Amino acid sequence: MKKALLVFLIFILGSCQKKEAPKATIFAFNTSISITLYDGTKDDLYEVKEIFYRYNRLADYQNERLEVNVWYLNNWAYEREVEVNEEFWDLLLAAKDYYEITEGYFNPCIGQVSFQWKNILSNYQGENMTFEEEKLALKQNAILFENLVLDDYRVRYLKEDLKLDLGAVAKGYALGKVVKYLALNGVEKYMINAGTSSIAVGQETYNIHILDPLDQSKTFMTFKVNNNCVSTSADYQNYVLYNNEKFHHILNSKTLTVPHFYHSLTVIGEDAGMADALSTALFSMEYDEAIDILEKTGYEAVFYMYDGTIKMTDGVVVK
Amino acid sequence: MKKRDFILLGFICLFIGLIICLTRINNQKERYAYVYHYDDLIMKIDLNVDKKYSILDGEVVLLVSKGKIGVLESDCKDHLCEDMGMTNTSGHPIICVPNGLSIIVSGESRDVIVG
Repeated sequence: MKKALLVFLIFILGSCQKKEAPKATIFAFNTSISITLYDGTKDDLYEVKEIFYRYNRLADYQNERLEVNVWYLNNWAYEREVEVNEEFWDLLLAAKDYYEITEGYFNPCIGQVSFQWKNILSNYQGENMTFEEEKLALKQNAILFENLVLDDYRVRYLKEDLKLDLGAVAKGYALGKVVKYLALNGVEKYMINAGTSSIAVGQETYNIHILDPLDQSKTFMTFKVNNNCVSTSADYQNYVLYNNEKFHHILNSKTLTVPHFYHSLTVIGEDAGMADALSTALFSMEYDEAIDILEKTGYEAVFYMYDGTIKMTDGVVVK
Repeated sequence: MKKRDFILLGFICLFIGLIICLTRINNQKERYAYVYHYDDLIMKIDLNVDKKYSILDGEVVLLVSKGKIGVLESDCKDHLCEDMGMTNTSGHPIICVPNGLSIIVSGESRDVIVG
């Protein structure tokens, strides 16, 4: 009996020793990504990190890499047809899907304008922003999606000034690939926080608190998610004030102007890539139009309207 | 089972309960912030000690106060990291993109901040 009790004691004490979950923090897609795999292995963690690194290289528009990436296409795909690998091809097809589903409000061909806009915002010295907007509006021909030819793993630009920009979706798309990898490998409990704007959680309930876009020291609402992805776009990062008007980093790809419908928009759904694309695209749509797209796709959303009111779809589980 | 076996079993249960409580109290007390510069862990900070830390050759000053950590000063242009306030939970990392800096608090949290 004593022996049995001793064995029981050792077993209980052994069980009390909590196994350390594999976790890592990496820097990719110009932000910090925290990965915690509660029931994954170190090998899973390595694979997850590799997925983020690979797509980070593919979406890089500023640096030439060993493989064909966005930089390479933007420099060579007008002069000649460029062959891309399977991962890049799937990413490009996904971008095309997002373009079609959002009726052109997400446009991966906006690079010519968006790169210039990023540059204007980061080097702003008090210039007249209205003038800059007019200048941007002249670029509309360069960003037509029809100028991008995708044909059986080969890419061709029909206009010299066409430039791809996958910055709005690459991080979410990579996160979606990570979620698929984890599902295939039996990892059910995880938390991946990609720069606080894209998040994926496994089969446990999490409380998601959305930062107040007008006062980032507090949050304005909390909702619950389980086995889902969350993506947020907001107007308080990377902006300049001109004549009391906020010129932020998100451009309406149809008008090439800065939209002022929402201060913050959070999308919830099963695919992180789609959630990322929707949070960007819906930011440029009026509320009713955004709701139509959400109903079509089955994704949920929380809107912090420009007048300060909060709206959300019926499926958001508020805490 | 004899009476003394029941007494022994009672003591064992009490002992296990005590161990679990002590472990939890210890876990709550031990709280660290891990500071990353791009992919590299450059500092592990005890959140129980109120202190200022000057990092990245003085480009960023971190403040630990009352168990929380935040960016007090940064030489970056947007100062978003300063606006992110103080954190004491793993669900609220503080990120300074221009400096490639991220501050992650240890522990597991089911509360996550997005924005």
